[in-house]
Amino acid sequence: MKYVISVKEQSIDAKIDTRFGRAQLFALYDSKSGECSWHPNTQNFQAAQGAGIQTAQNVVNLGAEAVISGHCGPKAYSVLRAAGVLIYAVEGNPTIKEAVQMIESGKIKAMEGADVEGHWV
Amino acid sequence: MKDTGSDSLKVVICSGKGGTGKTTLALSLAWTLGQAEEFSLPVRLLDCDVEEPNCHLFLRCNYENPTPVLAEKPVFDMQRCDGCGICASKCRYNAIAVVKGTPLVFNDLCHSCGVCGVVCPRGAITLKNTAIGEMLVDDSHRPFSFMFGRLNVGESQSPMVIGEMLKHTLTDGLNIIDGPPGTACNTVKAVAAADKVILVTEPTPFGANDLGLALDLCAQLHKPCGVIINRSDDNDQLIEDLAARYHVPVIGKIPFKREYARACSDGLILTQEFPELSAGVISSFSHLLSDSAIPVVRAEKVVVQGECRTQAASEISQKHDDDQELTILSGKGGTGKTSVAGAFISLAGSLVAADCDVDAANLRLLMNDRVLYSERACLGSEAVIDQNKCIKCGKCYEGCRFDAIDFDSQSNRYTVNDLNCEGCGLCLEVCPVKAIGEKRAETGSLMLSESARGRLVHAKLSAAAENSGKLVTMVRNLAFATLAEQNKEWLLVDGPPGTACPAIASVTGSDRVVLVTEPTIAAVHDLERIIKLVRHFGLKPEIIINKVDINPTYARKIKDLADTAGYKVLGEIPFDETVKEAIKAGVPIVDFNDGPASQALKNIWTKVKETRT
Repeated sequence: MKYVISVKEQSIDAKIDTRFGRAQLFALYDSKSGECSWHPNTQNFQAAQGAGIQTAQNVVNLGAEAVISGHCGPKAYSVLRAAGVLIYAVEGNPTIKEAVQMIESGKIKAMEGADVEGHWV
Repeated sequence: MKDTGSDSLKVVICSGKGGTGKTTLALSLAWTLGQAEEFSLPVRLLDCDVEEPNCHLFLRCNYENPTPVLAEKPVFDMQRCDGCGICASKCRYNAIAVVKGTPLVFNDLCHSCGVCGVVCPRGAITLKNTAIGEMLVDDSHRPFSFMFGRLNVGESQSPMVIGEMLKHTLTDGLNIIDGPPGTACNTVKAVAAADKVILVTEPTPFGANDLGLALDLCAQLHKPCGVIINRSDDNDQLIEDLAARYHVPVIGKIPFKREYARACSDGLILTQEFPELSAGVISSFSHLLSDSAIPVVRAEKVVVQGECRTQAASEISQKHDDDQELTILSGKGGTGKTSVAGAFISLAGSLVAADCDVDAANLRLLMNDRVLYSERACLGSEAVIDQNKCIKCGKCYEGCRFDAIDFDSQSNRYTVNDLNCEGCGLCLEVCPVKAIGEKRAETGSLMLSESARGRLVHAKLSAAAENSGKLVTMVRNLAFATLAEQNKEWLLVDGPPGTACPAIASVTGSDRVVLVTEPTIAAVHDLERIIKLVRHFGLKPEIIINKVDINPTYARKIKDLADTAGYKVLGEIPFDETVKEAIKAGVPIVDFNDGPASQALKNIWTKVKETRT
């Protein structure tokens, strides 16, 4: 499975950044091959509005099959779901590998809706 | 824009920030002038504070079927769309995403600029009217007719709703327009239509600070104004001096009395309840007609001391896991948010503060600070027309949805009106000879200050600037960096009023939110809106009720509201006249005396500390 993960620094031991749209860096991690690449999110980090939407679009273009972050708002959620990407919201501060392990062992289920209440909808 | 009818007059009532008595004055003027014999003209009151309309609460009007205010939003013809994604890449507002060949539109982010329709190579996008707000004219109301307008919660196009409302001004009468607070694009829209502007303020350093911003805006728009001092206590030198410096007259004063505050909290019209105030209101208005003047702007130098960092603040962000970020918000302005923030800063002893009310930052007035570092914040862009390349075809003029291209028939030149330009980029796309480029628009400045009470990050938004939400994010990022550098644990954020993008930018990712409210009809109304916002971010707001004894009925309502939803009431602050003295002295109340308000705040702070998350 190809995961895109919002992280705080460029390291395989990096902890997850709980922000999605305004995270500064994403890791693209392939749990089959163990390969990991890094993708900065500078442009969206600085966006005046709609950061989640554009970030989600970029994440889809990276080839993500699943996203791991802390929170996912309704707009980013609808973009990711439209592309069939699974979304996992993790709590605490796990590292990339810890989070992937929790997901693959079934401890965390994919989100079935934005985890924060509808943005005015 | 301007009505040429000789009997028509548009008076816009503004204040640099909310809570100074704008609505109170607008209602009193409409009530009194609507029946005054010396003014035989019909009067209409327009509530153009469309993000937080309150006038209807005072008029006890509840409108069932207002007319929708429409804005054009893109609709895709999926037979034609091939999923190329050009529309998404050209949209400056990030309102379109194209994933796996399918376009998704987010109407609440769309500014109806029309770029997507212009750039689509397959003609797959048409623009269709969608409701963004509502409005209604109530002609049956007496002694003045009333116009109500409201932006739908979550929409961003308040200038568009205001623009629609302004088409319904009386052409043969007096229009009193209750404007939005602040000096951002919505205020510009209202003030631009004014014949005269009344600026309402209060005699405190906060009031003076915000009045200065409003005067700067009126100077920029060449609008004659007069100042009214609300809650006057015969010690108004600060405001009088400021008005004199701008060569603008003080046209009236409303004295400070507890029974006036009480009447307003109950949603009563001041001059209706207290007819003795009518004469003053009439004389202020005559004074406005005869003596109002366009403000003369003073030259101001920003002195920057200390070393200047070269690193952009936006690049040095990142909050640490053990940092505790406490955000103070209020929904409505003037409820005492900054006074609470000032008290917390003093009591904490060691923290970093961030003033995210970038429209009218005034936390620094309580901190006696020294600016260490300042940078210009260029966040948006504006179009510029290269006159040497322009072939005068007028396509930009026809295409612009924001009236931002001016045509001067004498010189036969098309130019960009910077105040109206939203930077959508449509003109760049439609210009056949690529004569239009872009310049970076200065949105404001970002500053780091030092004071005896700790470091403060604050900003100043340029008048009519867009992107205030982004500037808020920059303030917070610089604050996180300062927190790490200073090795402090607490970050205290004084948030902006309202529920629009700057408020959203202040709450995102915060650890806890404290809402400061007061028991008034308007504040309770706005509290419900801000709670929606806070809950959206998965946070449970904690509530402080300021001036709790002013109106027991509404105090009870706030407590019931909190109980039902399971929100904690952190504390109640009694009405205390010395708070105003402390503000005048520029000192947090907890350092000023040990009176009832001071003690209440100390108890509240103890609770905040004990319940650190």
